[in-house]
Amino acid sequence: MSYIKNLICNQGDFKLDIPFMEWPDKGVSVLTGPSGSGKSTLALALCGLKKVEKGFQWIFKDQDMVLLSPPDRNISLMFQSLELFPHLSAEQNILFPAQARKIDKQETQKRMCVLQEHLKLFSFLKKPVFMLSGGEKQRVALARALIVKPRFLILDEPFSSLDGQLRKQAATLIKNILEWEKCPTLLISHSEEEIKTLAQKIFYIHTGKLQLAGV
Amino acid sequence: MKVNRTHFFSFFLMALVLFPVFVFLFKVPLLQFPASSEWFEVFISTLLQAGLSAFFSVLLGIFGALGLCAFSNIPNRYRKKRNLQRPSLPLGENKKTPGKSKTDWNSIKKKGLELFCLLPALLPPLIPVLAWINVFEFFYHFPFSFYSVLAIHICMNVGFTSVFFFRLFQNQTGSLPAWAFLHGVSRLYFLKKILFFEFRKDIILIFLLIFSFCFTSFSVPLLIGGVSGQTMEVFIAEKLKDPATWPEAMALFTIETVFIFIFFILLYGREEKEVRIVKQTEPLYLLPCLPFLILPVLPSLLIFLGLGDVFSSEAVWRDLFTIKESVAMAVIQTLFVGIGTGLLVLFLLAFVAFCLRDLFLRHFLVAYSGASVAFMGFAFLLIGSDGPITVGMKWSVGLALLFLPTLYRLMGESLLRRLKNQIQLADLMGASRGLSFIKVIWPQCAGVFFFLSGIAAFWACGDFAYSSIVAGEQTHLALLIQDLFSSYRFELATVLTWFLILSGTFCFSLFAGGAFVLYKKSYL
Repeated sequence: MSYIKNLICNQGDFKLDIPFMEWPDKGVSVLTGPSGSGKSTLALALCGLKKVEKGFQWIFKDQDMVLLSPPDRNISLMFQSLELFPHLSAEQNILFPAQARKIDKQETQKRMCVLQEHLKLFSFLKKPVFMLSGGEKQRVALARALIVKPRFLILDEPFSSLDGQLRKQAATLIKNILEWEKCPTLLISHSEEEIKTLAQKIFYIHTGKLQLAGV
Repeated sequence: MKVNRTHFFSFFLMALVLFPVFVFLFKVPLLQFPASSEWFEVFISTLLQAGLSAFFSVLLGIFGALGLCAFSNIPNRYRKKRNLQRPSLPLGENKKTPGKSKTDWNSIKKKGLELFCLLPALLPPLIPVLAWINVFEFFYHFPFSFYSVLAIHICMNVGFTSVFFFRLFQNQTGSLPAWAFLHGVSRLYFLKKILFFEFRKDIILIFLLIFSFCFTSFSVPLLIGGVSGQTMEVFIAEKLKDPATWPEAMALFTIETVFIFIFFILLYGREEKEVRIVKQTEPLYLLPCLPFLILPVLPSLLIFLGLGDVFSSEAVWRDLFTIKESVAMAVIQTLFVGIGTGLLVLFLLAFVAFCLRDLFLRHFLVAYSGASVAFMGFAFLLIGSDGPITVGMKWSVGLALLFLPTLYRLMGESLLRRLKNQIQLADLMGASRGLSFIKVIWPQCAGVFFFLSGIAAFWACGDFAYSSIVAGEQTHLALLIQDLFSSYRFELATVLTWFLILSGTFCFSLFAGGAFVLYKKSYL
């Protein structure tokens, strides 16, 4: 099991205060709650991108993640807005993390081939991302998050820009790929259906405080 | 505290921008306040001028924005009708065909009108001022006074405020006009109780921006202020002419900077508004406001009118022929200064983008109103030799440092703020600062930076205030025009203004061309 302790993060009037939170090392845990409750702040704090008060502890597979710098934590984050680099092609976007971490090119190419097949990226790999549809962008962002085999994956409302059928398809695709990748994931979501489809453990957060945790 | 390379670069850039302050701190160890009766009068007059200019610019700008809203909604109505008749696409088919969109003439027309309204704010002050004086002289002798400075500042800013509020109303009012229309709310009531109330923070923001611009304005009061229109900036320049009064100048500069800094603290303290783009939906409600369109359009129209009717006089051509060699030299010098300044601004903006993670530098550039023109000029005058190459360098470097904070505030900060999440992601992915800059930041910023450098190049071509201090023996078109202007030879000055516009446009086009090439390379 992984757990966090004493997470306090002040943001103006808002305070995220989580004394303890524990989730399994495998599968998808879902974090839900109303808008402005601190879900994204929690995600950023786990990545090391938000300043938190002293005393914060995050033990992940017996390692204290707080002692590591954000890149050394090897966490992949998929923002709600996806944040693809608009001037690069889909392929360049996916390869960027591997390039940043100076991962061997052959190894990256192998990984790229696997992801292409699972996420069906062939048809639009060379296109610039601003020409892709919402669903295609989603798949590119997921491939970019997975290319470096992350230790932990955080998906911050990844389906919010999709509607209806596409949303269902995307949720199923993510479920399949995460089962296959075996990467522990924290999914932030509002949707009941996504929670039902994906969740192994659910956390409910409200006004910066953890209210419920259930399996 | 861990000091990394970015902190070092940021510190270097801030020191560079604050360079004139350091020069004078070194040369003038003590501050000495001039007699209070002397400076306090000027301070109050500047305060009054800036306050009134900002107040009227904002007020007229709000009405101008309503005019622009009314104008831009006319074609929308017809377009909506056409759309209704279009057959709907089969399910599953993508409505947008990426990269093959048709030219949207309505949007081009709107953007063209916005640019036309922005002209007085974008052109170097010398050009609109000369044009407006020409128009005024047709009816009556132009008065050089406090009121002229006030009127010119309002004319320069009303287009800018109109476009600012127009964009705000268009994107944020959503269905409020439709709601007001449905409930029979009078337009005056809508303006007072809804628009003013909803956008009060933005109104205060733009008021403060215009206020600070008018408070520190140097070129306009220098050109047309006369005795009654003297401002703090002109007063400081007067004090700097005599080394004995440098401590007084330094004290006045401190007062001015602290005053403006407090204003910007107020500006910066404001909460950031969430972007809520809900396009305005009711075209009929604001249609009666169409006549207000004249407010932002008239100053730009008068520029063309004022600069237009000068070529008919034969005497002007004869005069021009007699000074043709000086004009040719001035054109070459103008191009050098323009291109040099543009390149330096491009370099400095790239430098800021590289240090983008350093929020202190970015806050500093937003809050710092820019050095006093006179201070910058005299600081550069005090260092280095008077050789032509040194003077040329001082000329461009000084102008680049003067324009940097303004240009950065104009578009740079919002651009870098938009990249925040991407940079966070790149950091999380383990990208080095160099890789982030080359692969993520620069390709997305280069186009805008080239465009801003183009504006800097145009401004540099038209600057006479700073140039008159550092240029020494050398001259360029703006200085030549100012000389002619001071000797009341308005017609010849106006003809030379066209040379200035052409030179400025050439410099701007060079950088704008670069921006276009980079945009095409990055996105098409």
